[in-house]
Amino acid sequence: MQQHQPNFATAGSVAPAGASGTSSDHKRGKKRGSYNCGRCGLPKKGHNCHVNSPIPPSAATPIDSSVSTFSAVSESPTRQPPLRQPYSYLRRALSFDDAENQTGGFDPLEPDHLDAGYPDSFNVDSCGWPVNILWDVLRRLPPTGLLSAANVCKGWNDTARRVWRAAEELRLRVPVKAQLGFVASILQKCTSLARLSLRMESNVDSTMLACIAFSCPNLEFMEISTSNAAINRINGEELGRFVADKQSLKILKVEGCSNLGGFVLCSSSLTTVWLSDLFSLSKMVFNCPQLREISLEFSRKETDSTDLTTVVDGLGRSCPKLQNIHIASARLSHAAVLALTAAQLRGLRMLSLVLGSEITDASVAAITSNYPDLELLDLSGSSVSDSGIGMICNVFPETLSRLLLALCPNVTSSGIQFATAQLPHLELMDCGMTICDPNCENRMADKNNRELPKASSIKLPLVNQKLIIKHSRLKKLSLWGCAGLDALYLNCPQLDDLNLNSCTNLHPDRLLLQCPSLVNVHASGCRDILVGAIQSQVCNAFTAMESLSPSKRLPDGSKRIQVPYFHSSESPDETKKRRRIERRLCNVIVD
Amino acid sequence: MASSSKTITVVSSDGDEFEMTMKAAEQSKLITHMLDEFGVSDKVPLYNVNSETMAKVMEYCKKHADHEAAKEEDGGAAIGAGGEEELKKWDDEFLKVENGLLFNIILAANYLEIKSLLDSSCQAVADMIKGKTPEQIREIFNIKNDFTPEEEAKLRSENEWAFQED
Repeated sequence: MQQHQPNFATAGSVAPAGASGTSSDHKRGKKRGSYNCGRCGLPKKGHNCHVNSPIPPSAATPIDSSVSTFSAVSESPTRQPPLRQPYSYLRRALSFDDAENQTGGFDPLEPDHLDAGYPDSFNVDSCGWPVNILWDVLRRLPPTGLLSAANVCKGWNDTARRVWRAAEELRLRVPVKAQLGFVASILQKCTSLARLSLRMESNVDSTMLACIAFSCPNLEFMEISTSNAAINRINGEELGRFVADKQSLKILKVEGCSNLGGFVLCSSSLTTVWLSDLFSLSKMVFNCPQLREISLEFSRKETDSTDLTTVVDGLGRSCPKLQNIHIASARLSHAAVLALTAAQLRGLRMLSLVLGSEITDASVAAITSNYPDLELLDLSGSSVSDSGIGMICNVFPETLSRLLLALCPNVTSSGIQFATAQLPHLELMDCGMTICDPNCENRMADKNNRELPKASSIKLPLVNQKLIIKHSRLKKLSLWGCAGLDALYLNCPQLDDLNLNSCTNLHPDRLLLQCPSLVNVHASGCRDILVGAIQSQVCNAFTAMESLSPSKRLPDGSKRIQVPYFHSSESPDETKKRRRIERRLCNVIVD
Repeated sequence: MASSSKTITVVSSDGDEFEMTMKAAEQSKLITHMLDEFGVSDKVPLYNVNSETMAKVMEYCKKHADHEAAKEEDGGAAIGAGGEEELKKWDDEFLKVENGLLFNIILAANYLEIKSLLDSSCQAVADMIKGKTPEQIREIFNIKNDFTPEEEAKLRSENEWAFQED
């Protein structure tokens, strides 16, 4: 009986980390234990498993200076740009996460609530505290707090030990000065650990992996994220060995993978793999027949030499159960798409191939003809045009709920309008930086000087564009950076998030928002007069609703208008349920 | 069966009697069970809780019972989203008492099986411990250090980084 209780003020409760695992529809295939090799997942018949044979140590790792500048560079585009970045946004879309996700809390400790040795109420320990109460207090402490508490007295030490042993999930921030012993000593105490998330601020290498492998026999979830200048020196062989040995590992997420060099991951248990900052991999093989979700983010460096077509081809062959694919690389090409479409991945539902300027409408044609059931399609940063959108709308109207086409300079407002008109199930649409002139100086150039795909010659100068969107299900719409947009009319009753960052030419008099469910409007980089217009529109929307329900008339005849409670307009059925009605406030975020 | 206007009487260890409405009494699983077993007419003895603590617990139960009633009434309109936050703030203020009383409140909440009070009060204590060194924790809760000097030295060296706030 497990209870995950997100008791901690620091964000990032348990759920997001797991959401990508659970919500991406884990229908575990039957474990064909008896006739597949446990180590590499290939059929046992006539098979000699080489996975665990001693592998000679790999060549020396790249020199420090190049690596450190590399990681510093790769940090910037993916971290905190002022505009809504495709990446973090995409990650959200891919994992079905509606809330801000991931790596929020660095410290909370969530042990299993019911410990096997749960003592009696009045069993009092040597320090005078009933043991079960002490347990209840100590289990709420972050790891550092628990370590302090353990040194208070013998009774507390005992209970602290029990709390460690019961811990199933550990999220730890490893500070810059920390040494391996820090993590090792904590991991040793947590014998039941199933989920481990390390936020490294100091460098990490394979001794950490070895330590984890040794201390956590039942690990199911492992995440290593890097921050600031932390360098991840783990190489591909070591990662491969770790994965092959950990028979229980289901979810693996590693950041900063610039030193992997090349790897073969063999696992019959892995269902989710996220690797980021990948660079120049000589070999990337996934022998993971249970794999459902894969996310590969490559570094933006020009010199990346990974052969994506082979990788995709391999994925298609050895991971037939893939449902969610996310690949971000400037070297994505039409050939890679063709390899993917040749693969017959019957379960594919979410496909995200971003930053590939060589992806064209022909690629869209291939995707639409082979995978007609997609729920999410993300081709941001590609050369897809309005005709590509036409193809998408032809094939996916029944299933597509998320469409992301940010940074696609060949997409125009008519394409966007067409998409919203033709895709009735659409809930999320990202058209950031589409309706704009790619050479316009308003665009926030990112530090890598990444080139956008060349706009096709038939495109008109993108100014004075208008967008009229009427959609009954749309929940999130992003038009960040659409500097060519000057008029916007939105009638979307379910819209809760609207991104108008840097819509610098949007005319305040040509803006009409009829979206009563709006919670957040992002308007940084917009002119003040526009922000004012937005604010008055969203408040007016509420007062319009208010007039449907009785409002109080004060004795002097004036009407008190407040941000309303939506009570009397509710149907009788709903008031019967004990439902908490929220006061809807709309935030206009300018920051 | 029991209407909300009915009240019951509980008796503390000091012999004082406290009246509480049924709704407030339902906040405590223990009292609810006892009433189910033995009926309402008798006075419920709670000899593990002294009067000072009992008064506080009564206050808590009443506040939370009223809050629930308000929620049920207009389908939540009177409360709104702000209501839950307000209640939380009230809880935080409520628990700002001296440590001895707080400890007794925890014991009472544990005994009476009032889960929300137990959660809030344990969290309050955990918040007091966060970020403190063992010595500071001992001072707050008046706990005797029963480690031998050798044991203590060993523990310190194991967890050296824990005391370095960076």
